[in-house]
Order: sequence, then C-alpha cells, then structure tokens
Amino acid sequence: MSTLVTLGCSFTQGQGCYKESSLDENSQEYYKEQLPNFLKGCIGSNIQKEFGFANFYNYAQGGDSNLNQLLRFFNNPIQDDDTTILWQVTFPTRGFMVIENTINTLPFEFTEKMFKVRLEFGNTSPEDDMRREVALYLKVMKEYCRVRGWRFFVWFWENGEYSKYSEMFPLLKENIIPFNKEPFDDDMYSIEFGKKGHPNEKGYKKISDTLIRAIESYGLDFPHPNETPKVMKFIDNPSI
Amino acid sequence: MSTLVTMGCSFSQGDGCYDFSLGDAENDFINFREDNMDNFLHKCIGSNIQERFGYEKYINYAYAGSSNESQFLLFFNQLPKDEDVTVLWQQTFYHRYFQLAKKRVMDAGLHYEWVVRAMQEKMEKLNLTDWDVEQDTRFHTLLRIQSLYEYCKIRNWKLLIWTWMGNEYEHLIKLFPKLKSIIIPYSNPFDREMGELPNEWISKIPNDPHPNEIGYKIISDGLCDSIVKNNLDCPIPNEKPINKIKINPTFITT
Repeated sequence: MSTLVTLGCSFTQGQGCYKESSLDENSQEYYKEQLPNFLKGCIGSNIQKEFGFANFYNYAQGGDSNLNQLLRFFNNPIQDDDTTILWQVTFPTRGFMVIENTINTLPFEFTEKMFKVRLEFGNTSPEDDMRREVALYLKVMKEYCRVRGWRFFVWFWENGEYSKYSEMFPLLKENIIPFNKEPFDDDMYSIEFGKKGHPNEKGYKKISDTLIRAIESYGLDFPHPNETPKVMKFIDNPSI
Repeated sequence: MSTLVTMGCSFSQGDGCYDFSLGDAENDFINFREDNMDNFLHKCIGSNIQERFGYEKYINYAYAGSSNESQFLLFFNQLPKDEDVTVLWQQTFYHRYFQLAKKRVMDAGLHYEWVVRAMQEKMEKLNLTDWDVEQDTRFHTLLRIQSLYEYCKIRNWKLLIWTWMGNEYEHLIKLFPKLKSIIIPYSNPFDREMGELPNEWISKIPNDPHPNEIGYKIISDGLCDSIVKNNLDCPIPNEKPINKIKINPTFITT
C-alpha cells in the first residue's frame, strides 16, 4: 500500500484554505477548526489524488524551519514500507529552537545574529552557507530513505532556488524537482487578517499542478501507484 | 567484522593524551598537539572500549570543540561503510551550536556573543528561567539522538549515549523516557575543574581542561562497567582489535 509523506512549512500544511467560521480569526480555536480544511486543500492532498497514493501523511507546520521538519519527522516516523517523501524546503534563514519542550522556530533577531557572525568572517555569501546547512539536513533524509527503500523528492518554495541547489549540491540533483511557482491570479490568495495572505485551495491547486507537470516533464522517478486514496492525516507531534 | 564508532567532542577525541617526546609543547603547541593526534586516537575512550569489548575496527568522529549537531551531521556526511556497527555518542555541552561559515564548520559556544545574547533574549522575551532554557537544550539534544536512533534501528546498528556532564541521566530519561534503553547510566567524575582531580589523572599541559590517558581509562572502565551492570544492548564481540581510524572533520558540502 503506497504512502505519500509531505514535509514543509505553512505552504505545505495548507494554511490559507479557510472555510467560513463564527470563531475569532485571532484565536487558537479558529486555527484548530480550520486544520481539516488545510489538509483537504493542501498540495500533498492534490498529489495524493493525482498519483493515487493510498495514504497521505502531512508533517508540515506553519512557521517551521527545515531542521524543525527533519527532527519532527524522526520524532515520530511512519512505519510504512512503500513510501515517498516530498519535502518542501522553506526559507533557509529560519532557525530551529525548542521552547518549553516544543519544537519551535528561532525568532528572527537570533537568526540575524548568526547571520552577522558569518559576515564578520568576511563571508560574501552567507546565504550559501545556509543552503549548505539545509543540504546537510536533506542528505540525512536522503540516506534514511535510501536505507528504507523509500523515494525522496525535494522542492523549493522560493523561485530560483532549485537551480542553485542543483548546482551547489550535485549529489542531491536526482532528488530535486525543477520547479518555479507560476504567477497567481488574485482569486488564488486567502485573506488573512484583512490582507492578502497564503494561497487558498485554488492557489495550492495551481502549485500542485505545476509540480506534477515538472515531475512528469522531467521524467522523475516519482511513483504513480494509482490506488484509491484512503487515509489523509496530519502528523502533529510538536512536543514529547 | 565488528565496528565501534565514537562521536563527541575533545573528550572523545582523546585531547590531553600527550607524548612529550613528539615536539615542543611550550613553544610550538599547535604543531605539538597536531603531532599527538595519533596518540589521542590510541589512548582515547573509544580505543579503550574497543580493546576491552573486542571490536575489530574502531572509528572516531569526535573532534575538539564539536557541537552535538555537528557530530550528527558529520556522521551522516561520512557514514561508516560497515554493517555490524555500534555507535557510542558522547553528548557535549548542550549550548554549543553548529554553524557553517565560508563552507567551514565553526561550532559556536559561549565564546560567541550571539550564543549568550540569544539565550538571554530567549529568557527575557519568553519569560523563561535558566532552568527552562537548559531543559530546552536537553530536549533539542534528545530530538537529535532520537533521529540517529531511528536511523540505527533501520540499519540494525546499536546506539548508546552518554554525557560528559555528570548527573544528566535522570534529567534525560525523565524528559524522553523512550530513549531510556540507550542512555548509559553513568555520572562522569571528570565533569569538574581538572585542578580538583588527582594530578596523575589529568593532562600535563598547564590549564588544559582534559584528562590524560589514565583519566580516560577510568572513564572508559566506568562506561563499560555500567553497560555490563545495566545489561544494555551493547555487543561485546571479543574480536581482535585491528584498526583505529580517525575521521577528518571536514564536511563534504557539495
């Protein structure tokens, strides 16, 4: 039985797929109430349907860094055999932090300090060092997938990143989906706190379609199990 | 063929085991220390455990100043090619961080201002105590251990953990009971100022905060005794020790 696993930040979690609610938009209850809608409209869900994965597990969390996702996965790894991991790499400037036994993201001012250290050492491209760090995390997952006989694919939220990573890390090239987002129409965004926010289900569908097209046109070894989707769930395990 | 792997910082590298016939420690310490690397390898904790439990091959990933995260990433960056592997990971000070600068690893400890400031800011902004922050660093460490544990399980490798810091066992298993079976109940008697310890146990270099070969033997014996006494899942292959290999701490970042 085939399984699709997605890792990433809010863009993979499906944040932005809101349905009408009587709850206060600022409340935790509202966010929790919307989670099933996120799952239904997210990129992984679209890919599950398109390629026919029986199971779909989404580890992505809003605000997560790349290291968060790696550690979150290993804190609660799935046990299925026929598995494909699809990891959306988020902004490499996001750092990892634990706050009161919960996986969290390093607040920006701390990241900025780390960034300055690199500049102090005369580094002309601290962004490249951050990419190198991310590549090390990706290699951990690649190795884990290799040993388990799983497939492993990576895509990048930021346009232009896939070509940089492919060039800098040739060992990861076979895992990278050559993908850039296409322009969105106005009706593809959600409204969050009165402003244009994350993509909505229409936006995520467009991204999913572009990803699927890239997978197919580049002839990647991405499974098409053609099974009936049965399970779709978040793996939410932020604390012990 | 059995293989023992050790991971850790200078204390697992074997820093402090000097052969003074190898150079001029006083006037050319950097080269003197470099020339002693083979001595470190042969007298370090892992080497002693290799001899006592009988592992044919021994690989040491530890290097001075390393953070726990660096060890984790270095291991995955240069994985052992062997099948029958036991990994012994010494956890170093939790506040050390991994960072890359100009393609090189520059582990950041309390000597980096940003590390100290970040901890202070965390406490102030989130209204946390010293203890809360320390617990968070433990939790972070345990998540990393859990990740390596999952990998070792799939490879059918053994993983055992110990900490340089004394009295950590209870804190760690309370925080993360699922790792209890792989954490060695061992409280390191050397986790103190070296000046408080007998001279014959410590490095002969003035102000060097490391044990010498006698000190490391005491630690190795303590670890082995605890493994046996607590019946931990650690192979004792009783093979003839043949190889000792030091991994160069260079990350392949391409």
